[in-house]
Amino acid sequence: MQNQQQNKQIANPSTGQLPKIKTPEMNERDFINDGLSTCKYLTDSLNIAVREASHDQLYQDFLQILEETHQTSRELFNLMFKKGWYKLEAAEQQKVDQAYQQFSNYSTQFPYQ
Amino acid sequence: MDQVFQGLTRATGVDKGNDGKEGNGSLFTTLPFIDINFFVKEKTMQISQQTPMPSPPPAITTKDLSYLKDAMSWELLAFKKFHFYAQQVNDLEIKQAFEQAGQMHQNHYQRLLSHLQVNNDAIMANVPNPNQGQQH
Repeated sequence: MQNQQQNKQIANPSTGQLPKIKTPEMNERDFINDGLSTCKYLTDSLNIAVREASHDQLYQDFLQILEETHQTSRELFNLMFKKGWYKLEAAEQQKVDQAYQQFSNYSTQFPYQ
Repeated sequence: MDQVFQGLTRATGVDKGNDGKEGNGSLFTTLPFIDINFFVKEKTMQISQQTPMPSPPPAITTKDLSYLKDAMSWELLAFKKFHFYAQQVNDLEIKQAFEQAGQMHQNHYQRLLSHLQVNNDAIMANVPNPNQGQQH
């Protein structure tokens, strides 16, 4: 079982339209990647605005705008994943089990039963 | 003593001129502003004098203004960018995602902008002075 070569990659086959020859020109993957970066930057800035807002209506609006921006970031990420432009890697089972053991043992430090 | 008094009146006179108070007075009547109940509540508060404000009044603070301007600048760039990108790509799914994102950012811009349609002077006129009636 341990010697068996197991697939660690989580990714779709790349189906997005990318030029065969890479040029300095921005391609579709670059555009969507930059769009995602823009949204991610905005969530950082909006988060601070939420935290610092004075009156309640301003706070509520900033919070809702932040949430919608997170949602759009997620949709762009999902679209990139669907097109095969996002590759993820599964952690080794042994490492996950080890971490579970380690953090389970900290239950002696829990103040609440 | 007389000289000091004259100096003070002169200074206030200059201040009034620079403030453009008349301009603000006319804005008061034309701008649609927030929650009439707020003012009623604030009025009763002023009468009782003891009740603290439960939450900040809907005035735009200096900090609010900085964050609103910052956020709107980024939203503006974001929706222009998404609209431009939507025109550049052929994949319909990506094009649609870009246009949706662009519309969302424009909507955010407009929502944030509406927070600047506020009459801070009118709101502040009903906010009790924190230094009044305090014994320190």
